[in-house]
Amino acid sequence: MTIRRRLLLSFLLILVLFAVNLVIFYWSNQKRQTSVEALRRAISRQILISGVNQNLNDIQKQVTLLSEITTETPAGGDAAGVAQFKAQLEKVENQIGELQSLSEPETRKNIEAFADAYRKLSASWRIFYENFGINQTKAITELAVRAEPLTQEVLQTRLPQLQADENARVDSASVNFYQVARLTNRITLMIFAISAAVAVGVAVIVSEQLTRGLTRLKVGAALIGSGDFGHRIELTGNDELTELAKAFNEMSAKLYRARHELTLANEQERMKSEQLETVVDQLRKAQDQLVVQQKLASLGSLTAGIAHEIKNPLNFVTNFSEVSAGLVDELRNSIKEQNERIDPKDRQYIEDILRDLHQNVSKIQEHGKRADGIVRNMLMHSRGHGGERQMTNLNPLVSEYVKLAYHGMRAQNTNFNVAIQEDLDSTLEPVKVVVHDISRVFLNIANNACYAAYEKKKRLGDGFSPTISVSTRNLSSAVEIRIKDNGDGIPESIRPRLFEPFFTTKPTGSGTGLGLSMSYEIIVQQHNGAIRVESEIGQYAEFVIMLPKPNSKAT
Amino acid sequence: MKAFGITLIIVLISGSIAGWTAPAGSDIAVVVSRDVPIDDLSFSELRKILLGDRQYWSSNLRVTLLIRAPAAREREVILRNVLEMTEAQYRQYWIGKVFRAESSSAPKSIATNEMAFSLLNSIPGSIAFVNASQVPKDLKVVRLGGLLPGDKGYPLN
Repeated sequence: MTIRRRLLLSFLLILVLFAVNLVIFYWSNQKRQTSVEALRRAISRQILISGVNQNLNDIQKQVTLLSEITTETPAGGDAAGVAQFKAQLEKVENQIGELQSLSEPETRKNIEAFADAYRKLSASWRIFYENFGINQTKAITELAVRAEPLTQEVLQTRLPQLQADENARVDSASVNFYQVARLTNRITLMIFAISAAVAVGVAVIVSEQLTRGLTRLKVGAALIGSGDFGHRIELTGNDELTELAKAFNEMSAKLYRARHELTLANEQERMKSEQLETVVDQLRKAQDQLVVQQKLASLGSLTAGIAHEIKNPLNFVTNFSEVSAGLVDELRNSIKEQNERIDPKDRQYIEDILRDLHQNVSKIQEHGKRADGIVRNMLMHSRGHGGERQMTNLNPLVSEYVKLAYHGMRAQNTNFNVAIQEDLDSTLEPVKVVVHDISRVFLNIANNACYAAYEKKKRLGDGFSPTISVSTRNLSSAVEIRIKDNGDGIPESIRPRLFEPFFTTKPTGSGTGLGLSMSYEIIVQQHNGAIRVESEIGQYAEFVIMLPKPNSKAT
Repeated sequence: MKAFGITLIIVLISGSIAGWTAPAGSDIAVVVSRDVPIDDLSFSELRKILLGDRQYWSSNLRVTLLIRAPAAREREVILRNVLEMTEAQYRQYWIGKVFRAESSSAPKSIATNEMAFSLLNSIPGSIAFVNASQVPKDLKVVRLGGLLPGDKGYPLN
């Protein structure tokens, strides 16, 4: 049912209730007027009867006293007195006539009987009055024989009966009046209360339906407004609110579809943007790699040139220093053979000089060899790596070279000690690598790990246990090698420079700064792999190497 | 009421000059109509009848009191010997009784004994007080305390 029809029906119902109230009001008023009229008529009759009673008593007293007091008087026969007396009688007769006109059917018989008795009494009184003082005997006889019995009948029987009847009627009419008043009041109030209750009920029901529908619409609109386009406003029926809810639902569905399309478009845009970013990132990386490669290539060329130029003089230095050392030994032996001919003071002085000379030559030889090693490394770095690749299981390789680094450190320093923990993946697939170069990478990283752990041990003493952890994992498209030490870690600020050539944190003479640079070149450029470092200051540093499997794309 | 008052005054004046009276020394007889079922009255019963306190002889026979007008000897004897009232007191008594509605009838004043005799014959239950010497033989004379007029000790004389 539509709201319009619902409101119209409610209005009609209230009109009907109003009409019922009006009908009840007029019916009650009619009933009250009827009862008031009955009461008024009864009271009027009662008053008339009282008036008749009073007048009859007056006449009766007049007649009685007249008959008792005088014997011969002109009053009785006086025409004016007679006329006046008759007027009194007629007045009573008129009152009785009025009483008859007001009488009810059930009391009419008694009133008729009373009226008959009065007419007889009136006739008798007339005879008495007309003869009083003229024919006294007739007057007194009439009075005693007829009038007085009739007076007794009228005044002591008929009239009291009428009075009693009318008193009863007045009481009855009064009771009826109050009963009607109570009844009509109750019915009026009851109908009014029922009408009010029905009106309130209708108002509550209609407003409840409207409010419920509007509340659902409001909540639904708020949800749809907040973006919940999947929400549907559930309203049953066929009123305007249901139509509005359907319109909201359709709007919500359209908005949902539009948002879905927009989301798809956004997603496509985002994917395109990500692809673009990836491309840009790849380009940037490629650019960086090109820059690094150019830089390294330039550096390599420069290094190769320098190393080549230095290599020959350095060979002279080292070779002649070895020759000089041999000559010093020969000189010392010759001097020993001439020992007796040389003054002891001079001999001692010569031996001191020879010793110093041998030490100087040894230093020249030592540092010459060190410089030669550096030059060879530089040449190796600049020449690139061109070894043959072969399928290799990296588990034994990494294990071997980590241990080799450990023993190398231990050979230089007998106090050095570190625990090696291995977690090698037995399913690790072989990869195609240049074994010699990859071994150098493992050795470089393991050397650095041993160095860091030992430095921390030296600083912390017995409370610290230096440990190197080695682990491998077989990934879907690559193999992963992790070498971790529990040293002091690598500060964030220097991590970007770790793989630059000649960058080192070791003291002068302890490192060339070429190990990690060379490792980066071997892993990234030579094997298309990846190398990165993870570290937490004061806790650990871990190098992660990814080498692609033969049939996979480069990492 | 005003007309009634004027009539009453006229009646009172006229009553005081009523006609014939009984000669002094004769007894006053109590005479009743023949249908009255009583032959003897006590003095107190007579007093009640005169005061209107007894209004019926029997259940359906009313007492109609006929008494001579003022100034008649019969009235004077009755007032003096039975009621011990003056004329004014007696009038006042009956006026009050009638106005108090204690009685629907009052004594009927009659001018002459002949009139009384006539009314005794025509009004059932009537009672009158007349000179004993004038009472016709066909009327019923009631004993008063067992005494008839002329008897020694008869109270109405």
